[in-house]
Amino acid sequence: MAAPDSLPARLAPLLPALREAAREPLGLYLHWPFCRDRCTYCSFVTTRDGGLEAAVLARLLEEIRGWGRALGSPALDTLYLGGGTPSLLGLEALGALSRGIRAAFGTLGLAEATLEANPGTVDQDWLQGARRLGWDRVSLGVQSFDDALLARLGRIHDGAAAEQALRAASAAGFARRSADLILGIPGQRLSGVLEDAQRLADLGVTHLSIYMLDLDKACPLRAEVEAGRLALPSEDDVAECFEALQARLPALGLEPYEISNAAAPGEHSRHNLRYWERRPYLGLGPSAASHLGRWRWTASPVIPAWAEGRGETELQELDAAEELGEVPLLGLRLHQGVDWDALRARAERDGLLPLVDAWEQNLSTFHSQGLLLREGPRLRLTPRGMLLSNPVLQVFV
Amino acid sequence: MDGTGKGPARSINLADPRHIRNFSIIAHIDHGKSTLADRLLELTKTVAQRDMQEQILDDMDLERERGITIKAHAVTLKYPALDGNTYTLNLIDTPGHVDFTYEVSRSLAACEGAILVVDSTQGVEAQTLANTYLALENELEVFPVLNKVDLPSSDPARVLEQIDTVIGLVDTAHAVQVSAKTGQNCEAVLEQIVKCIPPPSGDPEAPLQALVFDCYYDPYRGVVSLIRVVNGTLRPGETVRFMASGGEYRVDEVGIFDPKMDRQPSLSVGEVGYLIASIKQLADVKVGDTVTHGLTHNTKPAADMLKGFKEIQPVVFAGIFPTNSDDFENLRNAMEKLRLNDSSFTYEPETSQALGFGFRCGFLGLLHMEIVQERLEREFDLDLITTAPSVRYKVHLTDGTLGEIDNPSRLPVLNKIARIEEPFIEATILTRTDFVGPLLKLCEERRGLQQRLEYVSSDRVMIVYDLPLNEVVLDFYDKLKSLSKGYASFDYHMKDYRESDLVKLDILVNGDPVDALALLVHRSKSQSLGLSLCQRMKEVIPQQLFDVAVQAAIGSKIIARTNVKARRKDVLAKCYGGDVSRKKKLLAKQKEGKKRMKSIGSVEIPQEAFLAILKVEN
Ligand SMILES: Nc1nc2c(ncn2[C@@H]2O[C@H](COP(=O)(O)OP(=O)(O)OP(=O)(O)O)[C@@H](O)[C@H]2O)c(=O)[nH]1
Ligand code: SF4
Ligand SMILES: [Mg+2]
Repeated sequence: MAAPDSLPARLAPLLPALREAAREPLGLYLHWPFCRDRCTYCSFVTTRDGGLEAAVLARLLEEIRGWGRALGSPALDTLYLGGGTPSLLGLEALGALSRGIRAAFGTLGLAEATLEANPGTVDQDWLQGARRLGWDRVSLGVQSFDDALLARLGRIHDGAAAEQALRAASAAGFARRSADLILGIPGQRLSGVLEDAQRLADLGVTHLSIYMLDLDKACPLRAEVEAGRLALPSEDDVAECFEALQARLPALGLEPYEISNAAAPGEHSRHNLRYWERRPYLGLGPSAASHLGRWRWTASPVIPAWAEGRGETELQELDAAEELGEVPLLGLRLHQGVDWDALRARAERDGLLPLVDAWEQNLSTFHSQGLLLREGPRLRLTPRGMLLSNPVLQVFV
Repeated sequence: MDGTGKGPARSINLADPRHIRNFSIIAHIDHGKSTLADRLLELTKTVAQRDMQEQILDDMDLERERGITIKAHAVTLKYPALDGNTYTLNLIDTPGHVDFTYEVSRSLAACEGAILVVDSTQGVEAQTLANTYLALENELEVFPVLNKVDLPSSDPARVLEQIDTVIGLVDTAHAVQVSAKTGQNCEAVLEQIVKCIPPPSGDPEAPLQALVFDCYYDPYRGVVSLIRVVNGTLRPGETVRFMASGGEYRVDEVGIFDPKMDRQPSLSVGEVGYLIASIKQLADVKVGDTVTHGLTHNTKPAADMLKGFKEIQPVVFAGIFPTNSDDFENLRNAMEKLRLNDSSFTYEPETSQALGFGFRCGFLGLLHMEIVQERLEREFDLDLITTAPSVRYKVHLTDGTLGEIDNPSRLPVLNKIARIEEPFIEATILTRTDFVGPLLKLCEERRGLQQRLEYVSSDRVMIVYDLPLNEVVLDFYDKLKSLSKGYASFDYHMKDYRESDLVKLDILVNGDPVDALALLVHRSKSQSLGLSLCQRMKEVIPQQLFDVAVQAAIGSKIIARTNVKARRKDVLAKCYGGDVSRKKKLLAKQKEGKKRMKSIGSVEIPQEAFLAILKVEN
């Protein structure tokens, strides 16, 4: 089958192999790169230029169609619409996307369909409409309930709006509700974080993502910090906050299962688990990442270029060693860790045992420093190791 | 066609020595030598307009990045003079920085004359003096070129007066005033070269004598020697002998730089160019050696060698170690090759408890040290750690023996030391009158002894001080520049050794002294230095997975301590979605950063920590 012209040219020669890889049910990620206002810490690919919306929507629909055809209408297992702010999509547009997906992919076995939503943009009607279109999980960017901190982050909503949005989602029939929290905001205190977590639990969220503010790219908040007008909490304070929160979560019915994620029993994000378990996913939209077979690629982050189909796709083919390295690199982020015996067996099959031996040697200091633990067949990070995972994971790159 | 792809050899007759001029361009740093060379290359159409770029002779990446000349560069120009003859001008552009004076002195040995460039907005500076004296010692004809006359602050009359008062020996009557930048009046320099600088003398029929004044290693062509023919004629195919080392080789190619390599049928009296033979033993080629013919049916060796160069004595010493200990042999190879091109640095193997196998190296100054490290890393793709620089001390032991120590960690135990002597230099500083106060204060703080203070013109002062070298090598130059807002220059030479009250300052990391961090310092400064050094170490040693204690000690007495607290958080906990490639890139970048550090015990120490001493308030 010829490559539909909507697909990046570089991927065309790979189609037979990609199709083969897509026989396993896929995850599909869609990126909606629009926000009403830009948050002060944001480094995501997003814009306030609504003038591009029509073009992006059209292109997304085209890519959905094109990929569905190119991969032979593969079955979808999970679906995730992120951004940006997908809750800015009108119900009509959301409906068009939903229908487009159903037409192009096999959605009978779809186990989870998550919508990212900004509390400042949703109401009961919209949520009900989305629910009716088949979306069954929302992820709300709450970040904090403290209005002063929210203002500092440039969020377009306050704490009350976040609470309202969560209640509305529940009323609209979203039984699965996730919230994001951010740690390390200038002025944030541990007590506040613990209160936020309690309030989210009281509101019945089934999932929590905990991110740490990381101003690695130029942004207004970083400029404030660099100008000395705001002070970031110290690394130690953030670490302490993280640890205290981790310790509290189980009592709130939310069990940490990944460095940044906690969930009620059975409520983990199936879509996100794909990333850490190296199961295939297709990402559509500017800056969206895909992983299928031996390949990883990332779409152009330049929104207009992407919308016109002339963006640069970054493509990477993994060799057997790189694939093997990704297993612990990603898997160790999960609290359950990695089945090391299985990893060794796989390495043996691929003739890569020396590589694993070398890793083990490099990992030994982390064992003695109490960052890593071997339990039966599994290797996992300790709670301290979670916070110091970079040096451990560097072993595998 | 020849087989080298370099184009056919130019068939020209043996150059008539009367139409050859050999000269160096010398000056204080930044006075415009390389820019003037650009104009001379342009005026003689040596380089096509479209290939021209600023300071074209500065062809090393490091030179271009730093905007300074590091190596002397030779190039041959053809100049049709007003007298109707076409002259071959062999120009050598030299560096101005004091650390590269050896480049200047070797270049001068290949010349009959020198152009002394003086920035007419600045006047006579320390290296203007030093380099002029070098030229005069070599009995070269020197004429001044006053540069930068395009600038409003240019004051040629005042500068000529300074040349007369300070140097005296240079004929200012024939000074040429130019702007090397705009090209204004640069033709006059060419005429002046022809008129002022004597042609080489020598006998083309005499046995060959050619001076090796520079050489370098080319990965494709092997050793390339830069030579100046004094007597005789050299042709490809002949057998040559390097007289000092005794190595004999068949000549593959000779040529000139224009400025690319341009092969020639021969090099004869007065000519400057290159010589390539398939030289296997790098050690056979030494700058300062004389090349002559081997004994064959039609050639015979010269009886005498030319006067070579004084062995240059390094003044600053530091260890250079591969970050990855597997690179030791690569480093040795790299040093051998680099030394061909830079005979002013020395190296000998040493072992450090902390750093493993490496080399103790000698340099002409701190900039030289930096450049050597950077060249080794870039040209030979190595990751290196350089340790704190030290000078060479004389240590008298109680048993009456005398040892020389340039590595503080090798200092014998205290009760065996009778006394220690340290090297003193004589430093000459030229500055504007308004900066004299702060500069005198600086010299006093550095334990200096004033020798002279003279006005060289109404607003310019020359200060001469005896200073302990170890107070100068670290940050004296930077301090001098900042105190004088750039209006001070400085030159020095070794003077003598004097007894001093010196103590060894140890730095302990997690309780263990790190040999590569040890320093010898004057007792009066040990306390404050120990403190600021610990402070600085705390800034540059990254947080580790455990606490790291840094202590400064004299003998068994701890005089300062700091603690680098364990890192609590080093994690990617940001929403990256499925962008695994990006996460991997971040981790790979972090890991790369670590590779550049040296593990001592289990503590990872970056290069900056070893050079922390350079960045502390002295
Ligand atoms: N205005 C002006 N600037 C000049 C002139 N000649 C040189 N310069 C500038 O002075 C600076 C130093 O020039 P260089 O030619 O690199 O000086 P140099 O003497 O070769 O320096 P080193 O080799 O490092 O000792 C550069 O920025 C030049 O552009 C001139 O005639 N007029
Ligand atoms: S809502 Fe999210 S994507 Fe939009 S600006 Fe804020 S942080 Fe960025
Ligand atoms: Mg120069």
